[in-house]
Amino acid sequence: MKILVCFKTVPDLEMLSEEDWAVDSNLAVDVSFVKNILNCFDESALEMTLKLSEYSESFNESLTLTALTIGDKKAEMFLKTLYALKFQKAVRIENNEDVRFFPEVIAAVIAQYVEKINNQDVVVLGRQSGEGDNAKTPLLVAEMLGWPCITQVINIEPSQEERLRVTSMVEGGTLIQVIDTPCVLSVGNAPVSYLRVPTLKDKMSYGKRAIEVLNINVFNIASLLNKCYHEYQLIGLEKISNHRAGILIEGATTAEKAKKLYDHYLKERLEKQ
Amino acid sequence: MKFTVILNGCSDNFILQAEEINGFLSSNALNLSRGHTIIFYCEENSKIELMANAPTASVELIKVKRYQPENILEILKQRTINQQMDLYLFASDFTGSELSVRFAYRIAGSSLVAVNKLEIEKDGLIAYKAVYSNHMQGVFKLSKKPYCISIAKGCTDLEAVLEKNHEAITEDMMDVVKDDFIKEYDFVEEERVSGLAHAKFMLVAGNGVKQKEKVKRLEEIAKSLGAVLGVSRPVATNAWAPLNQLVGVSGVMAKPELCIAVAVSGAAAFFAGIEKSQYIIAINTDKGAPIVRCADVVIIDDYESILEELLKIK
Ligand SMILES: Cc1cc2nc3c(=O)[nH]c(=O)nc-3n(C[C@H](O)[C@H](O)[C@H](O)COP(=O)(O)OP(=O)(O)OC[C@H]3O[C@@H](n4cnc5c(N)ncnc54)[C@H](O)[C@@H]3O)c2cc1C
Ligand SMILES: Nc1ncnc2c1ncn2[C@@H]1O[C@H](COP(=O)(O)O)[C@@H](O)[C@H]1O
Repeated sequence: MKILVCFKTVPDLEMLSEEDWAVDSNLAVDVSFVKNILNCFDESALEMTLKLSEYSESFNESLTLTALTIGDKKAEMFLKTLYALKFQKAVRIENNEDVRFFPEVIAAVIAQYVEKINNQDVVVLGRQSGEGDNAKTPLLVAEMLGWPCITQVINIEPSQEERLRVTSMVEGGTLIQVIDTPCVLSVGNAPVSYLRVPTLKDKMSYGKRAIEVLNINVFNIASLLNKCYHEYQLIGLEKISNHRAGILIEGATTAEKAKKLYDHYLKERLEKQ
Repeated sequence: MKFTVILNGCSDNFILQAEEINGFLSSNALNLSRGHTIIFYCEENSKIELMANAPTASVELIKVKRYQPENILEILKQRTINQQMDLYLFASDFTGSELSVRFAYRIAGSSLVAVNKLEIEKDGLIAYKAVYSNHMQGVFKLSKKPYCISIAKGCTDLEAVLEKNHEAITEDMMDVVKDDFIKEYDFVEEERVSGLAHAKFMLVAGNGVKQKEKVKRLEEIAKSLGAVLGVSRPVATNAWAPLNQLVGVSGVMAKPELCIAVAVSGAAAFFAGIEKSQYIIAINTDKGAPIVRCADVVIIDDYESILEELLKIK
């Protein structure tokens, strides 16, 4: 079974201080100086797929794992790690266009990659990513490929007859479905938060392979972007402010602080409950 | 603006969806007489309640076997094929966001997920939504009809439906089957509801608690204080607490009167889930954590020592 995981590296926005949130004339925020991290849902998706791959071996089935990201060179560090974790293919589609708010473009590139370059049985994506917070890409990939899509996925396991057992969260509980491929899986808040760290040995023996880099122009990006501009555009961007009083309770000891908190701020409120 | 509301009547949260949409319609000045509601439902005996909670007078009830997006998308397309609709509005839960995006693609419209406000203009629709992991509000102009919008969780007050003169048509479309890729199907009900959405007093714990045992202790502390325990994303994804206790944009958007937030940094995507609290008390060891500026009262100290002290005083 061939599985493609699409991931995005995102700036760690929690590192930005209050003053850093200045919006420029292109309605963008300069985030070039903060560390890039894996989008949290994608990190779960990658780890989940590695687990699936291990588990599949006990079903005598071997998976071919490809990791794909669309973006600039900053992502290569992660692609190398994925090689070291035994992803068979690590692909980067070079892009320098501003596609923050155009999941349609990203989805079309992914769908074309699957249809024309590297056929797959399953495409795994995260449910949402910054900076756009679009929450649309996996759904659009499914539509463009004409495949079904399961959202809020929290676990993927192998099943008999080349099928998958997919667990997802739904209102009021969880759903366990055994499905035929092809299928798009959109990963939600899964209880798998961290991507494992490769061993030094694996880093040395697998992590040095060349990352496949494709140019985004192969995917007709100009016409994709143009189509998006005609459908919708970002016209404003403003910082959300959540400031409150932030009264600091001081005290020499923990007990003193707790007492002050209770007497001045909590007692009355607790009594009201 | 001619619009259609799409609701999932197979879900237990139906009333919440309906009241939220109703609140959204009134706060965005959408004229109810130009609206229509489509409700998917599974159980015959739920029909009366579903209809009574439709935000518009004109209602269509469509019977399906269960909520299954592939089938529902096919039905929606069949039912709306010749309509000149300007706007389709979907609920704030995951069903709303998945349907809005996929449906928009199928009818060649445009979509936006988690919208908190709309403004109607002659040549388009202005939609507001949080971006940059909830640090920023983005304003979008959509110019391709039909607009398919799913609303943001907790973006309006809930408003009970007042419409009494519903005119409903009912249709059975159980024979539409686009889900034969599913070979086995098993729904496992949640063991217990978290009660967070309606909690008046919430204790919410973050990654700084560091281990599962501590979360257990916090459960007890919450109980003896009379609070409901919520957690941040890392606590849930580390499996230290059930996923339904997750607070934030991808979990519960709570509106308690009192919220004590311990060992959470206060990341914007988390904070959105407690922003509507009337009063926020934060306990954190780091004076520079964002939560410090977003709380009403702050203690800089180890959360555990403070909470244990509080229990002694109380
Ligand atoms: C699209 C998207 C959606 C997201 N949705 C959500 C969501 O719904 N909910 C959510 O929570 N997150 C969400 N996140 C993740 C969010 O951005 C943060 O990563 C997360 O909230 C951080 O959790 P935390 O504050 O518990 O952990 P950390 O950032 O690790 O913070 C831990 C805090 O604990 C403090 N601390 C440590 N030890 C102690 C101690 N002994 N006593 C007191 N304080 C201590 C530290 O100073 C620190 O401030 C989302 C992210 C994205 C990109
Ligand atoms: N530039 C990208 N490269 C690869 N995958 C992406 C990219 N952008 C988004 N995705 C995938 O789409 C998911 C949802 O993103 P979005 O629709 O932008 O919120 C992410 O979690 C990724 O899995």
